[in-house]
Amino acid sequence: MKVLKDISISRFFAQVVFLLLPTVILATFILWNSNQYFTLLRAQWFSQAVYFASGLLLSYFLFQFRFRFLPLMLGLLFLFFSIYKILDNYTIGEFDGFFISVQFLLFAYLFTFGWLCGWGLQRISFSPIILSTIFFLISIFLISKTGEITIAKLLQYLSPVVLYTVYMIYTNESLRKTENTHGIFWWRFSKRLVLFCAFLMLVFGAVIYFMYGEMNARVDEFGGLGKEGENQMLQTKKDQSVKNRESMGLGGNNNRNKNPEPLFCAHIESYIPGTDIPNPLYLTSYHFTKFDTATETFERDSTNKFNDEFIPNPASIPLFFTYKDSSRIAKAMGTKNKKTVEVEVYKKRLSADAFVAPSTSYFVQPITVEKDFQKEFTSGYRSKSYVSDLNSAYFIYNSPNPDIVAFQQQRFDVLRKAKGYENIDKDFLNYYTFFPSNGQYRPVKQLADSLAKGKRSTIDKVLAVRDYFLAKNELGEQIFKYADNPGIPGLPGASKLLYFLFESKKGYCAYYAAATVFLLRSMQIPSRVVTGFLTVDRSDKNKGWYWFYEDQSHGWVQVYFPEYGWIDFDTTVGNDEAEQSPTPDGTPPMQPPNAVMAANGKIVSVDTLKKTSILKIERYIFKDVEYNQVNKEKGLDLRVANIWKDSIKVNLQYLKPNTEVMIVSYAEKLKSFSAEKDAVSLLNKLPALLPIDEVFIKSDLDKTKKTTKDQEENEIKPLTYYLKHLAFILLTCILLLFTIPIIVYKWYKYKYQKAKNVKEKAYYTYKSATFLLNQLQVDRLDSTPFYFAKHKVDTQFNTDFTSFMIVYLKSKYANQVLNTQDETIIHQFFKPFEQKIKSHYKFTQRISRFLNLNQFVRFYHLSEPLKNN
Amino acid sequence: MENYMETQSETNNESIHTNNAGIGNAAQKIELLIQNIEKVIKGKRPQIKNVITCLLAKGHILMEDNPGTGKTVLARTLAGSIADSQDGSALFKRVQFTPDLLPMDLLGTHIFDDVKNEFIFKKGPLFCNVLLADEINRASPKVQSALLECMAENQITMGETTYPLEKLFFTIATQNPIEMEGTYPLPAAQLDRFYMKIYFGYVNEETELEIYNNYLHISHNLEHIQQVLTRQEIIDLQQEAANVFIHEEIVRAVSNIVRATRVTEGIALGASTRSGITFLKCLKANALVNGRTFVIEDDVKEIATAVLDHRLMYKNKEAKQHSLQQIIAKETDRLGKLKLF
Repeated sequence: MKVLKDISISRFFAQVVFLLLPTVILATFILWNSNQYFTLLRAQWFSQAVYFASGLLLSYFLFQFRFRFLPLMLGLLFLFFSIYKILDNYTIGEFDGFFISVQFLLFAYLFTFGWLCGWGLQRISFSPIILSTIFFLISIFLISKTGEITIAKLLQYLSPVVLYTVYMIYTNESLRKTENTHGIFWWRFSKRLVLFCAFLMLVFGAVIYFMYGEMNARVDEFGGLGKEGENQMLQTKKDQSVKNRESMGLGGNNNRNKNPEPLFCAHIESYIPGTDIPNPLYLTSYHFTKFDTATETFERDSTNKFNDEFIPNPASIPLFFTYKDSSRIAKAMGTKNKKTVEVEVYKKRLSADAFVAPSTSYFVQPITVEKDFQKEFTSGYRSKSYVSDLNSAYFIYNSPNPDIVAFQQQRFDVLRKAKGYENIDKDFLNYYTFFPSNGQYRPVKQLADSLAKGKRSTIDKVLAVRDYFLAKNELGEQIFKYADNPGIPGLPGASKLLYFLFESKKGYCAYYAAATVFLLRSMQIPSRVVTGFLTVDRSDKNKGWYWFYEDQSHGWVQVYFPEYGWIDFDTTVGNDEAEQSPTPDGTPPMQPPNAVMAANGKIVSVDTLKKTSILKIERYIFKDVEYNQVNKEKGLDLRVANIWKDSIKVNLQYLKPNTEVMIVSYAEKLKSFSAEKDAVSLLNKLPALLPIDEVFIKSDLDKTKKTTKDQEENEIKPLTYYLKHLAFILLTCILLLFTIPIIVYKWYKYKYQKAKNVKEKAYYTYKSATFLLNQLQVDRLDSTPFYFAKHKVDTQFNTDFTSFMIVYLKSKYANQVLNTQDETIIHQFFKPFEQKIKSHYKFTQRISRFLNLNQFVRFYHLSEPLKNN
Repeated sequence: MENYMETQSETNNESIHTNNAGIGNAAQKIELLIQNIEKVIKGKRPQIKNVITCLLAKGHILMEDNPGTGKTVLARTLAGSIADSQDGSALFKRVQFTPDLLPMDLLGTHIFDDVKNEFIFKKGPLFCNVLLADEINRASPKVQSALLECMAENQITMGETTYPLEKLFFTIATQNPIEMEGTYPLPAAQLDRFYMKIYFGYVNEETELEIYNNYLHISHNLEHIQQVLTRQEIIDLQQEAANVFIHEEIVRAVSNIVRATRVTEGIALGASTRSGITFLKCLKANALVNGRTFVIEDDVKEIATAVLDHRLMYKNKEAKQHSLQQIIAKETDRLGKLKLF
């Protein structure tokens, strides 16, 4: 095989380092990103990158020689095909075979892609442009697949590709142009490259720095840059789970995903008083209480002292342990007709850290999912809420159904008797009725006044608002319509709402809720926007069970009635176009018996024969009361216990001393005891051997999960954070780089001062002197040191460098011992010489020349011989 | 001789401190010779030094340039500067090479002596101290090769008898550029005998004006050239040049350069081992000419091109201009950065 002409090793390596390496890095980055979203690829980005890189490098190396493209490609494909066939036929075990085949296919695809890239880079002249285009398209594809678009995400995906494109085109061209005849090739090339990259980073950084806010605002306005398929009430997380958004979505489009898969199901222990007719309740997650005049939106406000929003993270609470905040009940300010309602939520696609419950909730306890349902439901929790009897999904539907209307009337009558706001805390009233009445909001006030005319009670005013939205025109058509795509131009929040209220008259729940609060607050009625899920009772079979789909994510209004507290109130008009989820509700999971006791601790000893064990209890929970820092040993009766490890049932042998476990007991026997204040005395009262039903062995997996979670949190830091760090590091490096000549000069001088013998001293004197001269741009070029001293330095600076050079050369090359005269020359030469040289240059001139790295490199490099003919 | 060397080195050391003008005994003599020649040949100091280097290295020199640049005058001046111990000036012979020149015209011939009734050897022009072989490449290869033995072995073999040449035998050959008409290129073996090949070149404007202004005196100067050194003194200097110290790193550099010529792209035929030895001899002589008793990298740089260039065969013109320069530059640079202690 004949080799292509003039393969230069250094050029080849330069190409590998400067062209292939960035390509591999970019490919790795893209693979890493796609691993976040495609389960097929999941979590093997590194090996995938290695596949790609090996294909790239191999083909780049091979096509350096005179191989033809087609035969090699066909050979490669044939090889892959036959290996695939062999794998298919000879692997044992169906699952293994499938797994290996998939792995191999992945390898083959990536290797071949790398192979083509390598061939392109080696043989095709415009390959960087083609390659960049391909990467660009892949990135755009990835962005389109990954849900939510933010400017940070766009930058994260696109900026590497853009940088890569510019870099590749420049570097490829530069590599072609740089002459390869001298050893200075590397220096020259990398110098250009570094300068170019610095320039590129500067431009790019500046663009991002100055435009970031601008771009963000623009993207926000259009609700995600023309991207369709966004549910404004929900946010999708990386693992495809969903939860309510933490901000009010008033974007252009609210695309309610018609995903037939339910998000979660809930059992709501609420019945119409005196009957067993289920009374569904809306489930809230966030309260939007504060109207921000600057951003013109409703915002959550944790500083509000009447904040009764309860948002625990069920994922962070250990199984069966509780989190309780009774202060929420007080803050909800209303006790009349209230009772505690228990709700159990079993999550399917709802995020593990999401929490929804009827307001006002104050208690949460993660519970297990029965084994048969574990595949379907990922996790569950039990919550308690302090709910008004008057609250009901039926109560607030603005449904035309006459039965519901009649039912609603009953309750309105109760509320008509509610007291006025005269005795309510002024701060509370001011906070929840705050609404600007000036300028553009004046029409709202006028509308509110006209609606409230003649209405005496709060509930009538509220109903007036509801009726305003329900009103029909002469032709019997609804004036306000439901629209997921209201087609409102990019305006700030409040302007949008005004546009909705007075112009377009169509929108989705968030528009109706926010507009209602506008009107109510204009009437001095305390109200707020809440988001969560609306509850629909579709099931006859399973009473009290409700299923929640994505299109049930909702926003509505809560109105405060003295003594009765916050009552849900929904003004969103019916959606004519929307079809209710047609799928019948599934089978609800079996409810596990209520745990009487749950405890955390370490096993001290196990008796496998008697099936008992001693546990050192660290903390435990008894009848929803938690006891911490117990540290008491207690016997366990494990005869009926199921032992679980990583959700697999195991036998008693797995329980070893020092394993961390969590025990649960449903035993009736324990129910006769009541919770006490003192943890130890209660434990002592309990039977010596606690009857245990479940033992969960804590695996190390939980710990690693936690750390990866921490890492994930670290990753979400804003882009500017990285840019700042990068800039700082770069700056330090550059500063260090520029001080190198000074450091080297000092080092030579130090060596000169510390020299042990005359020869060494002469050598370092020579080094220091020539280095100083070189840095001050007295170029030696290709002349010899002696010639340089005699004909350039001494004539220019009037020094006696020549005589020193003679002695130095004598010490270097001659076999003679230096005499005393020579030694004095060596000892006394440098200082006056240095002073004389320095006196020829101004201080600033010396500094600027000493910062010249180019000159520094020249000192160590062979300067090119002058081209004399 | 050893005593001489000692005093020599001491004076040399002292001279270094004062300046370059006052140098040791040997250096003084050489300087005297150079200055003497410079009275006639103006503005050609590097070439004069090269010629003397070759003389002291017991070699021969080839000068190439267009006619009329002073090659012949230089040879004559050199010869005139050396005094013969017996009859004044050293024996200087000049042979103008032409295509019809025969070997015997150079070496001499046997002629019949009527009186003694035997053939006696009539010595040719080679039996001299300084031979100017003018326009050597005009002669036929036969004549050129006749010069081979005498230049290498310092002797002539005619039939069965071998006649030694003068102890001091120095050939200055001149040649016209190869491209000119009526020239035979010198064979590689012949070229190898010449320690150096130098280019004479034209003088600069000032010197040229000076020459024109004094053109009448040139022949006058030539006739009245002083004899500054005796033949024996030259032979002593040659001996002294052989004794100059050469550091092993310099030897390595010479080896590196010679070896590099064999592997460098663009050079078809590299330098031989013999050229390496020649190089070393010339380095020593050059160090002495520069007033030193040890060789430094400057010597390498000064004479490397002159010593090696004519021994190499290049593939193209660009290589001819740069290849050797790069090799030398690289090696001298390495030497300059060397840390020797």
